[in-house]
Amino acid sequence: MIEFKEVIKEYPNGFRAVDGLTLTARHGEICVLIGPSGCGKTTALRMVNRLIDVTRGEILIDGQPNDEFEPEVLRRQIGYAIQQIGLLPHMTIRDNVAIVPRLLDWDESRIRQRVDLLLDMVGIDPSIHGDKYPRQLSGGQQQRVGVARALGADPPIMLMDEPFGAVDPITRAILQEEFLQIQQEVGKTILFVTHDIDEAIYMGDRIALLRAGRLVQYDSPDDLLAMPRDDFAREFVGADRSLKRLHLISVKDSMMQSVPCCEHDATLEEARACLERHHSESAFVVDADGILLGWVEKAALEASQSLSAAMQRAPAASIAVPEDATAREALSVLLSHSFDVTPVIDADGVLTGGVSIQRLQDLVEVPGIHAAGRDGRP
Amino acid sequence: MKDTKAKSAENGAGRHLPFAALIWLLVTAALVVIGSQTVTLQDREKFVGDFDFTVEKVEGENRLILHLTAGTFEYGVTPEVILPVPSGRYRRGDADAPQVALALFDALDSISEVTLEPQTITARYEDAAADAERVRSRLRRPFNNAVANDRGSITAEAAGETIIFQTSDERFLYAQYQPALVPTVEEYDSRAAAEAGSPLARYIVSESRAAQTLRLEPARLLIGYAEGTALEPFARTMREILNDFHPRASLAPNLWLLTAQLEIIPPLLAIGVEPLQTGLPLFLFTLLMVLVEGGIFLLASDGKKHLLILLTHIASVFLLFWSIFGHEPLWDAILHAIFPTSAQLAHPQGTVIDFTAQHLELVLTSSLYIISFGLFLGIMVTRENFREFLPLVNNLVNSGQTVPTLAIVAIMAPIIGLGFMPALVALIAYGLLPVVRNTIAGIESVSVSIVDSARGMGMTSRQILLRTELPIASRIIMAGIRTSMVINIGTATLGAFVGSGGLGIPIASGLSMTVDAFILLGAIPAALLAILADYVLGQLEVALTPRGLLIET
Ligand SMILES: Nc1ncnc2c1ncn2[C@@H]1O[C@H](COP(=O)(O)OP(=O)(O)OP(=O)(O)O)[C@@H](O)[C@H]1O
Ligand SMILES: [Mg+2]
Repeated sequence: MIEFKEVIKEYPNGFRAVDGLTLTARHGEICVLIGPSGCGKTTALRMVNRLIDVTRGEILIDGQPNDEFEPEVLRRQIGYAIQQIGLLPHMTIRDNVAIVPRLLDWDESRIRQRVDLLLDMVGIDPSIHGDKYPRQLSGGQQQRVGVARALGADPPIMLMDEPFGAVDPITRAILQEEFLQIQQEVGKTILFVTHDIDEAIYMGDRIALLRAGRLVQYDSPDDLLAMPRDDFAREFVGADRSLKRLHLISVKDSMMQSVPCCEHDATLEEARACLERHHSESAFVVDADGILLGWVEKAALEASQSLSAAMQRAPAASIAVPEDATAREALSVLLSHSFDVTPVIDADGVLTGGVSIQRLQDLVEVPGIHAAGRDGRP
Repeated sequence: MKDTKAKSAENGAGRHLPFAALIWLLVTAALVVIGSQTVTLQDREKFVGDFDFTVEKVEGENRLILHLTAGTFEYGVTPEVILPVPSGRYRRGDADAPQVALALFDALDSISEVTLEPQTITARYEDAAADAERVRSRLRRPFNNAVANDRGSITAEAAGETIIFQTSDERFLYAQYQPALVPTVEEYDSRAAAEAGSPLARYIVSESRAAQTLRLEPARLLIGYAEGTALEPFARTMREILNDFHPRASLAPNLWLLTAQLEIIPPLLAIGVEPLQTGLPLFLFTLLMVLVEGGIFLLASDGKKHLLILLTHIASVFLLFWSIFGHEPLWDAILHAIFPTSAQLAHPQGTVIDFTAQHLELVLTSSLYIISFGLFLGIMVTRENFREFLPLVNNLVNSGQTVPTLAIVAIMAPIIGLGFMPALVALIAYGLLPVVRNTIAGIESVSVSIVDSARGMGMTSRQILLRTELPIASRIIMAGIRTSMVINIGTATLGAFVGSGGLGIPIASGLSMTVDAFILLGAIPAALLAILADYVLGQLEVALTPRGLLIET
């Protein structure tokens, strides 16, 4: 747990970069610091491991003021990853990851094990890349090594200053996703600085929005999007905040169980009855096991002799979304087909429900209802 | 792409090795070929004593046998014979022009014709604008070197476009330094016969009245002497006069080693260098290096031996040059080829390797201080607490290099006195700049984010310096040390002006005595030493640069 208590940082030139910040990052959560450039994010972060001294106020780590430690001792217990990565170019990848364990005098066999484990974890094959030098890796690979290095001595706390800032958007998305998977395993308490609202929403358990050294709002991503506290916050999260919220909601949580649907060997009458019942213009067709085969439209039913002649077959992946997709993906599919409902399938291709536009509207209308928004996320 | 580049950087050192072995092989071949040659040693002064006889008295006969016990020298003698200058008229380019004429042609381009008569030598020059006085003064020294008369006075007289040399002697004489004798058997049964014999026979009888009959053999001289001659003084005379002959030496150099040790020259610590002669032919050493370097190449596939390979290479190249510095006959031959008429080729105060060792003492000692002060200053002013001194230190070391070294030497001399110390101080002041500047530049080149992440991981300032800043800066720092030492080798020659010794000594005396050979005797080794140091330090620079930094980005 990291607590900022009325923290003020005044630089020698009199400039207040952080102005009375009070903030708590709870154990095992990712707390994102976000705000416009120059708002004091980096300053706030670097005060935690005392790379910058606090002018007034205090920072507690698991309840203990951080100035009770020797700075070096403190820093060795806190993972630190920065945008510029800062790998030491004269050391191999393994040696880079081993820096903090070596500072802590771990024995070599344990270090070796730990280093290879971490490299594997961040997706760097230690047998291929372990003995290479940083300059022999791509930017994305270096970022991964930077994260592995920050995790080096298994610190309970990590400080990450735009750790994925220097790579292209696709790589960044991959790194973000992988990092969240790692976080599920390791459960660190993380202060994460970014200036990218999408990254903040995707990565953060809670987001602290800063402006000119002051905390504007500290909320879960969903609440921040649903209820921006003031004009600055509203502008910062963007006009598309509703869409962004959909990003936070999983299909599984938002889908309706009941959708118009009939088995492929049903009679035309049964199919028509199904459409009537749901007041729908089309229905999905499944086989005996419930696997989605395609759909049938009301007009086609009128003109055809049998259901199988009337139905349109299509690969499930092209018309349906999986259960672990976000509501936003469901909306995207909805917009690209003429159905009223986007079908949802499970891993076996079985139709389990559907998402309608009405349903999505209901979701974003109610502010803050999905406070526990991350539950359904990967 | 990245990977192949990286591979080639890793193997770069390894790949040049077969070439290194090949080069050693070529050097060995060259040494064997050169070593099969013998040369006549030109400078008698120096080789006296290396050339000795044992004396044996033949019982019942007035006969002395001198057995040659040449150490490294082969038998075969070259007397210096004083011959009359042949008369004649010679034009520039004449193939048969005698040495006297050649010396004059050499000395002045505008001389077209030289006329030799017994008591008068006339040089005609074709430059109406030339000042006769200056022509005379320019010709006087080469002329004096070329003729051997030291009894008769030579006067030179300039008249329009001719200059006339005259002697008060009977005639002009010149000394001929040629291998006039081949080691075949010669026998003379009287003084008269010997007087008409070969130059060596003529020389012996002319120098000793007691010598009567002669038999000359390749490794033995049998000399009959007059009744009543005291044997001991006679043998001594014979040994002396025979030592005046030019011995012949093999051109094959031997391996020289050296010792370097810390000495105390109060109040300072200095590095003393002592050359060590071994009897081992140099080509055996280079052959050994073929095996060593070739062997390392074959066995050392892994990168850890990288440093070892380079260090052996550096050491062996250094010893090769060092051994050549120690090979006096070679220097003698080279200088004789360049200055065939020079009367002096060897410096009276020492041999090339002696001067080089003194030179190294000066260079190594000053470098020791330059490197330690330079690193200390450079590191200090890049520390947070001392940053404010950075401009001051920069100015100081800059001004050290602006003031001419000779001026520093001259200022130091009255304060510290003559000798090693003022030269050392001047060299240190002069050489500090590149080291300090590069240390600062190297440390500043380490990017802020690297230092920041090192600090963020919990390295102490000291660990950041030793494990991050210095390794990353090492290449730039080494380049500074290299520049400093190479400059230092050149500058150290100026030390001779305050009596510090070194390769400046032959240069300085060559200049003041106008013996061109001496100038080269100092300048060639100094230049070679600078090139060698540049090479050695360049290799060391690569060897000491962490491999991760050699990868191009
Ligand atoms: N050493 C310093 N002296 C004076 N002012 C400083 C110093 N370091 C930073 N600042 C100022 O403090 C403010 C906050 O800086 P900080 O680096 O924390 O911003 P940031 O939020 O991380 O910005 P960015 O998103 O651009 O990284 C900036 O206005 C900056 O100009
Ligand atoms: Mg920042």
